Amino acid sequence: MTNNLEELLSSLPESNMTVRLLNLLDYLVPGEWSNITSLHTAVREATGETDEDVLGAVAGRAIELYMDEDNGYQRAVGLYSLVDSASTFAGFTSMAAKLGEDVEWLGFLESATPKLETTQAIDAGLKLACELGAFCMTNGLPGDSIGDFMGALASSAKEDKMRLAAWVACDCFLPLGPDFMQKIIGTLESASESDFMQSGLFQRIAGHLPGGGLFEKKQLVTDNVKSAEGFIGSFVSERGLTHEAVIGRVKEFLDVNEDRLDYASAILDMSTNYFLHTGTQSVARRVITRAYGEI
Amino acid sequence: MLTCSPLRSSGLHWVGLLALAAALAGCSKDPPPQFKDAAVQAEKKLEEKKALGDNAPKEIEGKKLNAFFPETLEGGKRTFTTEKPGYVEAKYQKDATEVCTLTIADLVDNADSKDKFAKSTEKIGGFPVATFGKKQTMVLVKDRYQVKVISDTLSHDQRKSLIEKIDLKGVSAL
Repeated sequence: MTNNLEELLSSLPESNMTVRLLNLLDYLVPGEWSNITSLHTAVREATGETDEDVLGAVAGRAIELYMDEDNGYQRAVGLYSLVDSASTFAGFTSMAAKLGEDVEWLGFLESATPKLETTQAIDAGLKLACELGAFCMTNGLPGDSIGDFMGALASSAKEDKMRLAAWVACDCFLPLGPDFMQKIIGTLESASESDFMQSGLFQRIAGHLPGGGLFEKKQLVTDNVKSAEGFIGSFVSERGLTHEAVIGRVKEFLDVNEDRLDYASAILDMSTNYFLHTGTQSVARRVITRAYGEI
Repeated sequence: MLTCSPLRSSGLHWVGLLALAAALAGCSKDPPPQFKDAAVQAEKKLEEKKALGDNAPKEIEGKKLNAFFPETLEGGKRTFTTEKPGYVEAKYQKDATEVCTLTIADLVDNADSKDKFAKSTEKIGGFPVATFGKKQTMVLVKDRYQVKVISDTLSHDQRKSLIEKIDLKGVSAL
């Protein structure tokens, strides 16, 4: 992956399945997200400045900050990339190629094997833990107390809110139902080692989680998810996000029946990479905001 | 909006499905790099830093800057948003509206940012004041620490008066 922030932003697609999905879910967080795919636009939007000298200075400093891997921004984008690495175009096409000549859409659905609910819950929890990890890599641990940290997390905006809304819709409501946080926490607490090992996501990120053994890693993820429970609850209730409404939108998007929702979740998982897409935009905004604070 | 319903209702040859997958993967674009020189400069600076190894200038720990952020400013309540080595940032909000952002940056490894103070005519607490762009006012303490207020709504004079409330002497003693 490039260490050049301008190239990184320019590599984001202007239109694909992920962008369409995000546009569909945009109503959950109105006015927060737009699909920014150039550094110049990102700097203008994040700073509100119009003077080209100022914009150039901010962009230059942002490029410097991102390029220095000690600053943690590249690691954050790398983490978002790991979260989504199953959801790639390569995965989508290789699956399509395996289907043979007689494939129909229903056949396609059947090859998209839904995950077990335990794995869905573990994956949803792992994604949230990765989100917290990427936040810390990008913003550090702001302030002097847990309250300060939670305040910083709650103040996250724009692309962060879009990503969280998409996570609630696609990784929580869709496969787990309205009481998803209880299911995630309950599953993380009771899951066995083999349950964790069945998660491809866990296998990808395990090496990046602190702690030596599986028990420590599991505890870390569980504690992180528990600490964010109140924040997620407020996020859902303040925006009036309901299971029925979100399911309605996703059904419209994929045109699947109620009894095929688990397949819909598997299809979205394979054909979109909203964590990496919006995560890249989030990290870019943070680097730019810092550059603006430093120039 | 994309709907996949046609796929569901009709048979689809795998070639068609691959074509669809290619379409879904999105249009690639190749815009001209606007900041190519900045990237070249950044690479050069990074190489110089690496060459210095342990002798490279060390930015101050972020935690040490936190104490200089008042709990309230202009009626706004503080929320820390970033704490990295050499850089801390907090937003001040009143009734869910942002009043201003306060940042303190260690410029020990960012000399370019000090250039704007060379022509400074104003001072706060004996330290030079500068502006850059339409929303920010800043002061350079001990030729190293930049204390800055950014606001969409406050004037330069109002931003200056907020900087006067910061313990700049304390910052200079870091």
